[in-house]
Amino acid sequence: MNDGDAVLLARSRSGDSAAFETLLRRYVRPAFLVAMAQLGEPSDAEDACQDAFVRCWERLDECRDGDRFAAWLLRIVRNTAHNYREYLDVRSGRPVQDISVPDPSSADAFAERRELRAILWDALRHLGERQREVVLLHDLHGWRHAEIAEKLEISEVMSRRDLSDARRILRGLLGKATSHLEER
Amino acid sequence: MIDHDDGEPVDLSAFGQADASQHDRITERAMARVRATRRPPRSLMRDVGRWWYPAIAAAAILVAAAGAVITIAPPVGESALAIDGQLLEWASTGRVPTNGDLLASFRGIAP
Repeated sequence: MNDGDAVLLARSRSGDSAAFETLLRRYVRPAFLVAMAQLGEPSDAEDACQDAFVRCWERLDECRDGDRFAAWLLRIVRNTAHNYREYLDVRSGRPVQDISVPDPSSADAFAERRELRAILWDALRHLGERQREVVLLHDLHGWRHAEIAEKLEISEVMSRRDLSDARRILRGLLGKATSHLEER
Repeated sequence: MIDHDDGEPVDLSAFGQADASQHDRITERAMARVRATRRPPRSLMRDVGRWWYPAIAAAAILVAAAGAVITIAPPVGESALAIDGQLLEWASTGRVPTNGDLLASFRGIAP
């Protein structure tokens, strides 16, 4: 039987860790993408998700509406990833925005998946934080606008607008990168 | 699953393809920490703490509303003070007020 979030949350609150694990597995992918929207690096996003999940377990009583568990979870993931990014900035002594990415003019940049991801991240960084979340959840995870609106606590109109703007900006940036390569 | 009214999706697959092993890893590591962590028991202090911010917000709204009422409402006794001044003037000058003077002075506080 596929229990709803509210039922699983109630069981989790009473100490049922298996119910909590079911909730986490249900939302681990969108949580990972929300963390990626902040951090851009899978290993960092994994660490942020783990910390956020443990924090959720410790604060389960603060989630007042079980039907809005996913929005609550993603909010904690976002805040944790945000703090993690600030910690990384301080530790590295430079803001994330200034970290250089591989030269897109190099054809080798597209050969390695890691480098392609760096180019995508470079383009994604030109978007607003929420635009990144919307485009990742829609185009990568496959959520519809209604789901995105509910889980990110925004309106559907805002979700559509963010997606449209994000795609336009990304196409412009990625188009430049690819056309530069094609000229070579 | 994808909405088609926003143009073609951008191919972001290199940024984060669905990876079951990665999702398992995240969940299992988090759950290992969860099982090692006892959730703090419910306490009165935690319950009070949870309502602390809403309570402060409600108090702030009440203070703002009270301030607005005090600012907007006309000062009580303004017309009575004016009449006191008028009576004082009549007493000091010894002038007997006419019916018209009385009517003009007391009209403001007539029931």
